[in-house]
Amino acid sequence: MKTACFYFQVHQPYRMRNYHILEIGKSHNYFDEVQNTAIIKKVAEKCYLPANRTIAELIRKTGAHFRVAYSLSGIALEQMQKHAPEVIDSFKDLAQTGGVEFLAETYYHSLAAVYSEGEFEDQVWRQFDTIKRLFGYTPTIFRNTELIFSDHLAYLAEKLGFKAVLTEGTDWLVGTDGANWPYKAKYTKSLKVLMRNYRLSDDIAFRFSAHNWSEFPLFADKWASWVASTPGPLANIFIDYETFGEHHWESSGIFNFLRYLPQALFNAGVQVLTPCQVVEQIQPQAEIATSAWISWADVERDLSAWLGNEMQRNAMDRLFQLEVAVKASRDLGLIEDWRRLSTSDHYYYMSTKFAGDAEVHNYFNPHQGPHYAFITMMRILNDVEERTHK
Amino acid sequence: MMLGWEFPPLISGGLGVACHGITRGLAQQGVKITLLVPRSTDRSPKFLKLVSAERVLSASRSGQDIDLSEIIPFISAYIRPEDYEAWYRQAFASGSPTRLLYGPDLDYETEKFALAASIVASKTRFDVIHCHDWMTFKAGMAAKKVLGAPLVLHVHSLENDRSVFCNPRISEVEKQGLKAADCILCVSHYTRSRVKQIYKIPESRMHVVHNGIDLKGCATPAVRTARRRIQQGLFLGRITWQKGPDYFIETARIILGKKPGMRFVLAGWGDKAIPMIERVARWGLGSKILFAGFLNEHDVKRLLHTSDLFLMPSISEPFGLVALEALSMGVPTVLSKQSGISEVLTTIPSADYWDTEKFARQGMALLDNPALGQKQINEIWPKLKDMSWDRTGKAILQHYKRLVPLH
Repeated sequence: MKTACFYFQVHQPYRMRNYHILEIGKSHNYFDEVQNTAIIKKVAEKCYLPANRTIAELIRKTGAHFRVAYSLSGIALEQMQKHAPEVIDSFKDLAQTGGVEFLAETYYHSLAAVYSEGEFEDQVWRQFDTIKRLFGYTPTIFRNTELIFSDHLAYLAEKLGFKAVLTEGTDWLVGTDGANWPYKAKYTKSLKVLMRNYRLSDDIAFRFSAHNWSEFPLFADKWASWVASTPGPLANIFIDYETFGEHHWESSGIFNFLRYLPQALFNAGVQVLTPCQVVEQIQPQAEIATSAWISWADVERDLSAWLGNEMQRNAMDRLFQLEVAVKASRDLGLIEDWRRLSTSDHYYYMSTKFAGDAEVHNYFNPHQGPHYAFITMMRILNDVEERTHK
Repeated sequence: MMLGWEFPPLISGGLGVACHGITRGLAQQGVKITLLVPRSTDRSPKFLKLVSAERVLSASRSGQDIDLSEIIPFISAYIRPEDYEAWYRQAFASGSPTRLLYGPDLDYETEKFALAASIVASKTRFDVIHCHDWMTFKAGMAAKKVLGAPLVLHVHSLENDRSVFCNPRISEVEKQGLKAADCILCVSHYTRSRVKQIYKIPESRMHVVHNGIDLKGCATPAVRTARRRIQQGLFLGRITWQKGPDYFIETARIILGKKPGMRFVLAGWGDKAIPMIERVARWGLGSKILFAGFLNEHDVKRLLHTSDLFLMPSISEPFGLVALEALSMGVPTVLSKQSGISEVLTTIPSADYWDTEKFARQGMALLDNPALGQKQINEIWPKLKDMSWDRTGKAILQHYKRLVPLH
């Protein structure tokens, strides 16, 4: 029997504010409280609340035959607790349905796995404890930031006791249909790897409301038939949760698509399992190994979205150079700020991949764009450094 | 009659400051001044009559006075024509009211300013027409045609100073203006020799009048407070080719090799900012060489206050008021030899703009020995006090008197 496995990513960073040069050594207020509050409230309203309601309803209606997994970043949960506590309640309600699995990830949605093993473990355990405390659920499957993966990540995940890791079904690694089987990670004792079927995932995440797409409009039964006819036993659908209501507005019909999805899948002979059920029920036939880092980002599917240019590498290098001094300070506020700066989004904003000439050369407005993100981060890191000397 | 392009508080750099200082200095000598600028705020200082070209034109066109000065964004004095066009397109696309007042190119602006100048000239009697830099040269010539009064041309900077590839239209305006002038005032000997070299104007037609500095009641040199933990080196000005930001970051890199605990800051913005940011990142020095963006006057003062070294590696700096400002705040300074100010303050260390090794050596000497910097500032203090705008005004008046027989 064909199996579909859904996992949704929920994450919101603490975005930086325009930190002024003269604030170095004086103000340690790095984040744009106003903007961050407004965004979490808006996304809660448009996406998290209605999507949670819909999914809870579907799980109950199908007797938990429709089920999903969530990965919630710790800093997204923090912001919800503070500004949209009703979202936390609705996730608690979802946890009660018996049809939801919570995954482990890094609390700060960072690239710590690439830079610092110690910091990575701290961030994973903090996230693990938060999920246990809030939802009474013990995660057994690990999902790294932006599905970043390599042999090293497999080693780290197994060391922390996880049964499996989710990552991208990168073409060069597993071929066109290779993502439809579970794998065992080479060089580990028994760690399993589930890979994203990016074609089926992107049909929903990107193409759903693309009017110029030949398959537009996409209905649940059509998509379910594609899942049924896919080679292999498994289709892993890993997408950002904001797909529902935020990337595609409600008027696009995305919630109706979701509402009809379980029945359409069942009609097409597809069962739905969560990652830990997949790992138990479908045994891997092959091993997988990659010393190079892969991820689900951009066409390159590597780290270039966060570490592709010199500004990004300079900023991230500097952040982790400060790790020892920051931790030695035993200043909890400082350590917390430093960790919030490790969030991948800050480095993503510095990417120049998609910046057209107009944007890069436009010097009338120095208050936006990748270079601006970089120089702001560097001012903040100067203040972080000064605080370590106190 | 004075023709300027910017005046406080609407300023983008040294020209506005100089214009303010010169008019105040002249007013102290009893000269009555009407200053025409493209736009102005309503607050005119007591010592002169400030007239906005915009209002002159709209009044003459419709017979009524329309006040649009509040909603119009300010155009930098030395904006490049290409950038002006880009800016204009943006303003036009966004439906900003500016598009109604400005044409699509900077030439057109200077022509309009000239029109306003001839309108004003036709209504009042002036003894001397005094204009500042190329944007106002056409206006000066137009006013001279109407009034027949002598034209004084004040050269603060040349197109040749500002860019690698000179805009031929601007150079042409400079050439015409220099030819038509009855008296040419240069802000430094350096500038005078540049004018002679580029436009073949005989030195005898040109006179040097140095700018001044407003010490604002600082009777004694500012004494640097005890050394902070992190020493800071500063670049201040537009991040453009003329100001030599490349040489600043190169010097910073050399100094950082010896003093890794230091920090350098570039305050300002410009078309070279993005390449400079990328180069600094490539060196892995983004956390040591910081970019502050454009700062207002108040923040510039605060930043100077926390700095231990000011470097001015300008490729061509006709005067360099910013260095006077740094020195008046007690910040040890290394100057570019290609600047007007270095010919006045001969005891302040200087180097050729390209000689980053020498800049670094002299900078480090000042950082290692703050007493040395303090001593240099104490030594030049009488000179700074002497360099008042009052004195500048007196000198300019002498030239006026030569041109206009006393009443």
